[in-house]
Amino acid sequence: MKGQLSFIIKPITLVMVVALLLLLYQSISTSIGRQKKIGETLDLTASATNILLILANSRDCLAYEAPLSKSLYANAIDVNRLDEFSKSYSGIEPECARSFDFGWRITITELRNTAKGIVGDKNWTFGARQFSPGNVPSVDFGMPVAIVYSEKIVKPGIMSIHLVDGELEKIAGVFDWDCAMGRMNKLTKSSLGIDIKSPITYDSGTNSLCSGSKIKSCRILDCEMAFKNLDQGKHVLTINYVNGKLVIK
Amino acid sequence: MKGQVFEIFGFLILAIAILAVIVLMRVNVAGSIGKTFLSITDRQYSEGVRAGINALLFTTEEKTGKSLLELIGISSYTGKNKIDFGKKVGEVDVEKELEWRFDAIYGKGHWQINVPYPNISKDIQIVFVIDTSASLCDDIKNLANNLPDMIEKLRKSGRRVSATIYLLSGGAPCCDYTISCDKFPTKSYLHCTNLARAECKSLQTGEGQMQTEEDWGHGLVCAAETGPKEGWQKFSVRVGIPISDELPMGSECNGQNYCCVSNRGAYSAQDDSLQAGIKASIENGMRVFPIKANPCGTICGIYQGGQDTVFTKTQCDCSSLVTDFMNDIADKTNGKMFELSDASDMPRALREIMISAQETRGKTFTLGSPQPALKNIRAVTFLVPLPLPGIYAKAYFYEWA
Repeated sequence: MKGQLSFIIKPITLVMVVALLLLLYQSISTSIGRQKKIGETLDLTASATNILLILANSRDCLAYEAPLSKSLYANAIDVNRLDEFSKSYSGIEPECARSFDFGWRITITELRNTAKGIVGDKNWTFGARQFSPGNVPSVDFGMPVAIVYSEKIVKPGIMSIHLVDGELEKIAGVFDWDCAMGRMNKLTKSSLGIDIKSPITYDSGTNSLCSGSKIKSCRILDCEMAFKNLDQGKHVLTINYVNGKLVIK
Repeated sequence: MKGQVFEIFGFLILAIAILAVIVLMRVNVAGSIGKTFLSITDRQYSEGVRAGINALLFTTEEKTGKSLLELIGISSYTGKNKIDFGKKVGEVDVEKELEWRFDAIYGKGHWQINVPYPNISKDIQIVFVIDTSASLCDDIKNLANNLPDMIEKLRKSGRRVSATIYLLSGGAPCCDYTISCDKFPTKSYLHCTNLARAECKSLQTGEGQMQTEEDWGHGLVCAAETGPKEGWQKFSVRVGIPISDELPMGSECNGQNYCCVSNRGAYSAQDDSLQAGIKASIENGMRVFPIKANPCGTICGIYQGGQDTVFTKTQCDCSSLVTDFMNDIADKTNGKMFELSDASDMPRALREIMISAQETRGKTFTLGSPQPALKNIRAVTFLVPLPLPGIYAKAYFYEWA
């Protein structure tokens, strides 16, 4: 009887030990996965913050420069630059704060106190209009800014960013980076290995790279391209910069 | 049987050990990742709050064009949350200006700002407008003997007091001296000047018919508009002190040497002078503390080349009307009238004026909601420049989610 009991207990023990080890493995995997996700979110948040800070505090972007002292003030932006950026960059991110990994759009809202409460008086917006389709990592947040009309007229506002880390942004970022390098004669040839989840097409009429099959999202590119549309799956592309144009095979 | 029991125990120990490892990993690894994430995001958020505060304080108030930082600085200097920028601009409520901006950015009930006011007193700028008729001989002498020392003592105690004496044109010869600016020492904070008719247009009113050496109403107009020798400082305590024993332009009834208290209409020119003085004082933010010298008794002056003692009956009869006039301007400019029993009473009046002129200051400027307990509160400290060179107040801003 004792011996038979031992025969039952031993396999049960073995099964339980294996189950526990599986639980341990799953737990480690979950932790690593969570760590990775937190890291990604943190990267996105940091990138978005950096873009906002560059936009608000760089002379090349929106920063207000005092006419006499030529000094800058934290998060003080020039209303004339805002008007200019809204017109010039209505569909693409400005070069001064361009990220080749992400796509983003900025909205600046001027705040005003009225009898009915605080209202968004005026809006300016610029940056990419469309983003990768589907459920892609993104962040949305804003920071306060001072909108400078003149030394004596400075109004409060909020500068908000919608930043997306998707396939379209990454591929277009590589092409735009190659274009920038080519224009500077620093690099004329490179290659890219990608695993595409949505078909990628090129619209030469608008010089846009589009992602998606039924509903397409498009991004304007810096350089014109000779590009053959790509289906879902893995691809290795060679990118050549020839006479101001990217030739992609 | 023992063997099986040990086997089961062995398995239980192994199971507990593995579960302990899992729990430990969850707590330590995931916890530390979470903490790192929180601390990084928190730091980023804190930097965002700091940048946001800087941006908000750089924004300007519509009517004045002054930044919120400047307004907080002025509030800290004046010790008041509402700042009066004069007739043209009006009053600015610093609390309201800050409140709506912070509410819009951080949300109502999620912030607090606290600015302890520095222990300073505002500059006190005094302009005297002095009747120079012979009846004031003893009073002016007493003023000259006491005022310089009094101001010097106040300055040594840390009060920034300055005075400019405007002598109305005339300068009667007294028995032992002639009323003039020579009686007053000139210092960086004490000046005396004759209020010449040519320079003070207001004094030209009624010239030739009325006595301008007693026209302290129009004299105040010029003093309020011109300010003291160094000019009016922004947000200083402005004090005007007319010294006289008569109505502005004299207590004589219709130019005749008698008083007609019951016939106030006979003093319309005097009343015009008073009203002009009130208007100019209010417009320039000057509080008026009139000193009424005793108009009854005798005066010693030089008349027709010889010394003579004159009984001041007309002035004495009009004493109550002078009191009314002086009280009127004091009430309308938030000042106070002082009546001298005799010339030796001048130091007391001056001391009381110095005390009355001091404005009550708030101790701190606190705005927003009380800080909640058990919340992660982010704090930002920043310096606020005051309208005094080299002096700053510290401001503390708190924000919570």
